[in-house]
Amino acid sequence: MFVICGPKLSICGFIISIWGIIMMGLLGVFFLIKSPLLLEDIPATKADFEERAKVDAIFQQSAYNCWVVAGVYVFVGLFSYFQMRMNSRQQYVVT
Amino acid sequence: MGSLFRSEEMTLAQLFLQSEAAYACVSELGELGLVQFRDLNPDVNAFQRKFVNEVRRCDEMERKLRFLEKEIRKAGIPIVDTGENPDAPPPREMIDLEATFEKLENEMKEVNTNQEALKRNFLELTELKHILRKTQSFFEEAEFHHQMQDPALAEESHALLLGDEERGGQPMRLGFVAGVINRERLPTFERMLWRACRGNVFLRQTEIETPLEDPVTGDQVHKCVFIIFFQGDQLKSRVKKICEGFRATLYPCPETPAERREMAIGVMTRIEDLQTVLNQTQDHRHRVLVSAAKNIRVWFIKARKIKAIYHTLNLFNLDVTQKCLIAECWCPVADLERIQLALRRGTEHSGSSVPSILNRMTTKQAPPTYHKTNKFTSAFQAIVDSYGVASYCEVNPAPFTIITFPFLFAVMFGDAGHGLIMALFGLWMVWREKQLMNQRKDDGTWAIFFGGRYIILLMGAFSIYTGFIYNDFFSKSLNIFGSSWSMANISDEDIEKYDMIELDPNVTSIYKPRSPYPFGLDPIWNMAENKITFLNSFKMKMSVILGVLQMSFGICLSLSNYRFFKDPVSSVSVFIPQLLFLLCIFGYMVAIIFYKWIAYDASISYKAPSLLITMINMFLFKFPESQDDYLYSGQKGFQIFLVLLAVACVPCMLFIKPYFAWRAHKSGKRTVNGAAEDTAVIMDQDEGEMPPPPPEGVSGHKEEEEFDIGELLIYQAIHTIEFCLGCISHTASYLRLWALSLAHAQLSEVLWSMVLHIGLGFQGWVGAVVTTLVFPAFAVLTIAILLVMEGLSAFLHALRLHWVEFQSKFYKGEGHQFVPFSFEALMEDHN
Repeated sequence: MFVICGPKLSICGFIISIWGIIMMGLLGVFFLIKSPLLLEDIPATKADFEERAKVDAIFQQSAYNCWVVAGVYVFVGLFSYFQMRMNSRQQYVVT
Repeated sequence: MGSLFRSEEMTLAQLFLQSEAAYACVSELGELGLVQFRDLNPDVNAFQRKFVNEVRRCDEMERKLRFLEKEIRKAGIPIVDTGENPDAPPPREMIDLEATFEKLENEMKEVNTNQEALKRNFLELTELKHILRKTQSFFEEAEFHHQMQDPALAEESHALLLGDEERGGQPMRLGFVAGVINRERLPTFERMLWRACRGNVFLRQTEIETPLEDPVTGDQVHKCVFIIFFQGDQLKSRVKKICEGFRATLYPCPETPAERREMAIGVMTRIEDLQTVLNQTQDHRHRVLVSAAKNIRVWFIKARKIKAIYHTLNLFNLDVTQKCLIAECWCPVADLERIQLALRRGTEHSGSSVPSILNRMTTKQAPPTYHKTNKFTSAFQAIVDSYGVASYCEVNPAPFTIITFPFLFAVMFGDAGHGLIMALFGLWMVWREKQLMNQRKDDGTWAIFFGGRYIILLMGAFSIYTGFIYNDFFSKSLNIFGSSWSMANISDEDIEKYDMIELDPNVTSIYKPRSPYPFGLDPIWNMAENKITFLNSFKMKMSVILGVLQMSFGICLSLSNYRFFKDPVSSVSVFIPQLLFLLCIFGYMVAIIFYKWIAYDASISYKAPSLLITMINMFLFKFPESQDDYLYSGQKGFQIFLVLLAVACVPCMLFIKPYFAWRAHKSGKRTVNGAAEDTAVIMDQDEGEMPPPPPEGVSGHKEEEEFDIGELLIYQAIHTIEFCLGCISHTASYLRLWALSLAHAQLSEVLWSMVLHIGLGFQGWVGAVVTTLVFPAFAVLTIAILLVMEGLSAFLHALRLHWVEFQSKFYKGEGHQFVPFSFEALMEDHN
């Protein structure tokens, strides 16, 4: 396989991916337990707040969204790690 | 590991070294790195010193080594760093080294010159090859023109029978020159030819596609082949001169195609031969450089060590008998044993029988300040030293800075999420210490971050702690223990009707009075509109408390200094009034802050008197009428007492110390008398200044006395004013702890609500897509703004608080650093 990103970009990507996985994973959990501190962060209008069930559904949807993002970042992280390996191997061969 | 509390005790020592053993002893001392030599020949010119020839030879060696290093780097050969640390070779080996370097340098120079000549040759042949190829088409055109012209001429010559003989007689033969010129110069060249030869020459040119290598500089140059047709000798000479001027190289090009083909074949063969020779030269050069590259690092170290030793030997004095060298040096008392051992080793190595002698001397000069630090404490010592190196044996603020600095930083930074990232960064740098130290040495910014890795780790760890206290994780709070506030009993109609609901802590269903949130800020405040108002009060009071604590601690450290330097007058007349002044005013303020926190609960908080107004009224001696506005009974009398006590401290600070000094002068006529003179000598950092000689006559004595008293009074007045005004301004200065933590919290909130919120605000699965794109932006902005910018800002302010507010209470910082003669430091400098 070949190198698509340079060494710095792959390391950046790897670190952001790790951060993304952990933070989005935890955020998803917090959305799932319907933390009131995240009340402002859900895509709900004033009308939605009439029904309890609707708000719960929106919380759940946000939680799933966060986990999807975490999942995407798992792939990005693996890809970046793979690129890091390719880069360091290339460096090793040249010298 | 010595104590970091005060600098090490230093002594001036005299070394007597036998001339043969001197080199080896200095080499051993250099490896040890515990001795700072003084220059005993300060007025001697650098060129008149004893070992100037040896230093010159070392310089030559270094120059040759640098030349070799440059060649090695140009050839792209990696220089191996085995991490070996060879000892300085004895003087007789120096000649061998010099011979080796000389040989290598000559060889390299020869090879380089040869290579240049060969390349020049190669270039000429290549250009000739291109010319022969390209001019084929030109000649065909020229033939065509020639043919065209000829019948015309033939007609003319027939027509003009009477015509010029010259015309008819001379055949229209075109001369030509062929050559090669830089592509950039071609347009000017054409124009020049046109003008100079009045349009009577004919130029054709094509480009050479491949760039050619310039033999001197090694650059790739683009060139063009040109051929100029002209008639007559005058034009020929003119053309040749112009070509010379434009540095176009002309080549002899044969006219007939057959000759050209032959020449082309010959040129090809010669090019092939030359290529082989060039390759072999290149190989040979490469081999020489590779063998040099293996040893060059070791050679560099050896050459530098020899040079350092001879520089040091130049500082020594030669004894009258010319047999031994005398050196003066500063060294720590605790390490005298090791120095003696090193001297003994050196004497043994040189094979000399006479042992070297180390003699301790007493002096009135101020010794250099030496703190024994390890890799952890050296970073903190460095930031203290940036402000000023500690005076000799003064209390060192560094051991306290190790904890207070990251703590004050954390108070201003106060976000657990950001603190975690910072701590992880610090942890990575500390974990990979050894590898990172060998890797990147060039980059300046990285070097600063790496040097402060322990500071960063501590700052991050402490920030996690204050993040838990402020309950701030990337601007969101965590409800770990269960909030003490509850909305359970608020009616639904109230929730429908009002946008904002006020939760009264007096109502038991809303707030449980006996069970506050166990650790840190209650998470409900994150959602409250009046969060900032509430936190302001808390953070301001906390800043002032921390400030007064740190400043009182600083004053107590000054007592430690007075006791160490045996200055009882200062202990009583400066320390006690200062401490009393600070505690009576600001210590009292801290006390009533705590009192108000404890004594007033939610039910009576509405009638709690304002602390600021209380303090102001305390100084104005204004007391309220109603009993409610008092914090505690007996407040009036106690406050009056405190104000009077504080005011009474001021004349104490101003007059007691000069009075004692004056009395001591008056009673005794000894030179070493009174606290004033002693302190003057210890604080005196100029080299070579001796204490004033014993007074000759009474008149001289009186003059000194007057002079002393006036200066001393002014000195005390300045310090007293500085201290008293400083108390107020420094206490207020600590409010930056509040200001920066507020700024950080707000920035963090803005970043969340304006960046990440975009992603979370989309309905359905679109939200996931947008969040995936928005998250890296959030991450990068967090690191750039909140970690780097705010981090640097908080670092700077915490540093300022230490340097100005804390250290001005006790630190003089007028010392000079102990710089030992050490090979390790030398090698680090060069890298």
